[in-house]
Amino acid sequence: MRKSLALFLILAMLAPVAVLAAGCSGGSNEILIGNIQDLSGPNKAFGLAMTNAAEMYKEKLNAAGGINGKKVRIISYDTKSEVQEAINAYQRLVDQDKVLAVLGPPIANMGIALAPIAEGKKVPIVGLFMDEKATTNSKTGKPYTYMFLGQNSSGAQARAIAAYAINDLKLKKFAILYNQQNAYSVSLAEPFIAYVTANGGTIVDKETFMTADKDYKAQLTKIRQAKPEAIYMPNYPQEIPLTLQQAYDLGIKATILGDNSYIPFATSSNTDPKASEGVYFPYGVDPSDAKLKQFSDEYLAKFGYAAIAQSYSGWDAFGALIEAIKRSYAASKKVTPDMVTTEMNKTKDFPGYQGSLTISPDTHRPVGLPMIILQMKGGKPTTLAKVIPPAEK
Amino acid sequence: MGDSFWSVVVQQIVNGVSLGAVYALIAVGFALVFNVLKFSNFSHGGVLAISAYVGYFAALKLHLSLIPVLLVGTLAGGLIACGVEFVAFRSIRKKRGQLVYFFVTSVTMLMLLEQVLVIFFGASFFTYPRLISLTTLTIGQVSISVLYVLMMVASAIAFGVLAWALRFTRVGIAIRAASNDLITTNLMGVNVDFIVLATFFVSGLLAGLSGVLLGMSYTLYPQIGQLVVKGFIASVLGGLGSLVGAALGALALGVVEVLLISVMGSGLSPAVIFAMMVIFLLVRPQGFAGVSFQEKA
Repeated sequence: MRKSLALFLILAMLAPVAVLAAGCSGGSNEILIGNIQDLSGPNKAFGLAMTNAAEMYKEKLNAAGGINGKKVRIISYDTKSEVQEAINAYQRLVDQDKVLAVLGPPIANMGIALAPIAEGKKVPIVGLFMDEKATTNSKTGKPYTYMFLGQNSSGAQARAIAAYAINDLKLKKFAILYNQQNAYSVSLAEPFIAYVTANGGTIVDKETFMTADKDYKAQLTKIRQAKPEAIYMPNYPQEIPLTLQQAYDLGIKATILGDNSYIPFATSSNTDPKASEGVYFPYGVDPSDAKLKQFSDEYLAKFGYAAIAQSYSGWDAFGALIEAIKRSYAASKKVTPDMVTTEMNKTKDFPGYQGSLTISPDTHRPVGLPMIILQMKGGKPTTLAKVIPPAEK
Repeated sequence: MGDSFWSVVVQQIVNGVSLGAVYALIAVGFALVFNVLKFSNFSHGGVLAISAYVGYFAALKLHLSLIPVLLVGTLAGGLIACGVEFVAFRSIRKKRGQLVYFFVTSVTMLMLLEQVLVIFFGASFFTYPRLISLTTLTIGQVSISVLYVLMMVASAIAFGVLAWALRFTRVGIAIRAASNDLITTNLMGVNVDFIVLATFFVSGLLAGLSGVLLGMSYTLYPQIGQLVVKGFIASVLGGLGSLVGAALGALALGVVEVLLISVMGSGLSPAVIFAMMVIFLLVRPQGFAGVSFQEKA
């Protein structure tokens, strides 16, 4: 009895090793791409959107023969929205799974944490971490070699809505309410303030809150007192319904400007349409674009829920990465993480859902990629304009 | 809008009182268990969180309206709290375990109940279906949401019923006797197991009510029960175990929080609140209500 138990335990311990070995041996006829996403935490809506898009892309690619006869396989790890989990996942993908490249999370904090680690591990990460600190080394001002952004940066997004508010809506006096503990919110707030003050507008009040806070009426009451024409609220999903509803509760009539998370979190299933009425925000894709329809129908049929911005931009980021791998093969019949990195720098006019994606080798971020300005009407977003974000100065 | 200085001050006090009303509902349920068993029952937060989800699904799947949802959530809270007492605390009490065991168990139960929610519903957030239209009452330049008014009314009704029940019903009188001295009450022939269970049930009703109201006014997420910390601070301020003290402490906490945020911003205000609490306890360890327990755990 004891012997058989011992044998069982030994086999049980060996099983993961065998699985691991099998995974690695697949390398010769498979191309392995890592995927680091929140699949069960508070931001799983974003993580699932990217993962689903990548899986859809992969299925089509493999059905058409893969790359040079090799099938692509995606290895996904769940971050549960914790930065440390993202770091662990990247190390495991590089050291154990030996992936060629990684599709990164749409989470700024994680991109910032991964950037210096990727410099050491030398496996490229293409993701949607919008904070510019995830692609630019703030000490040197140069781009991180292995980090690439597949959508407009938060700076570009903030400038797009600020420019629209000043030039098209003719607004001058702004207030701002954001989460000072969240890199995403801060990375939107700072360039917004910089753009407004450099272009003839004024910031009449700047209020912040903490991640654990749920009640923002103290801050909003101060904002109301400062009488802004518009309030910029670049916040995270969970905070969007609360900030909008509490502003409404206080009878605030100023124009509200939001960020690219307002779909779906400001729409009627989450936020009372009364509170979101008239809100303007920038978005990566045009929901009224007919080109998106086929993708969104297919996505809905496959996963049972609607595609969001990160599904489209996730598709674009993954597609740009696949194209870089294809170019490496075409040039030298083989591919390494460094070759993919070199080719990512040459990404030009990739036909994505956001528009034509070109990545600047100087910033590792897109150039000339448009943004759509939307407005909430009756709990639904309506398309107003397509803008090219003003360049950073 | 032309906000004058005083209208802003009044608005901030209204904001603070409405926040304090939320804390009060948590604090009183929390204080009730302390009153009888003399330990800080953090599992109250777990009961609150699960009831909030029960209310959410009652509204979403059964399409119940506001009052039935409140009742379902409240009752769920009472039943869950009884379950917690039965599973987690009864055997410690039977073995006459030290107070620290109760305390540790209560924190463990909070985490356990939270994790149960994460397992079943994930860590993402939900928003309650709109049971009550977003409507605001405006008096002069001061606005208050109807939902907050509802919350204050619900708190007031709950406190009224609780005060009446503790004073005039047989179970209520027995709970008060037990809070004075559990062992003697037992010797007097009162069924202490039943009284403790009743205490948890009533405390759970309050947790359930506050859970649904919190879920409606904020969003729903597994960690919503951690707001019990605010109830704890409020009941310490009020004098642990005193129900009136807890309610007053909660209102004071809400107003102070809002005023501090408006004066010094959200980054600094939590640190200042905790510093104020330390100083307050140095000066007046018995809290507002003047009841002091040596057995604080």
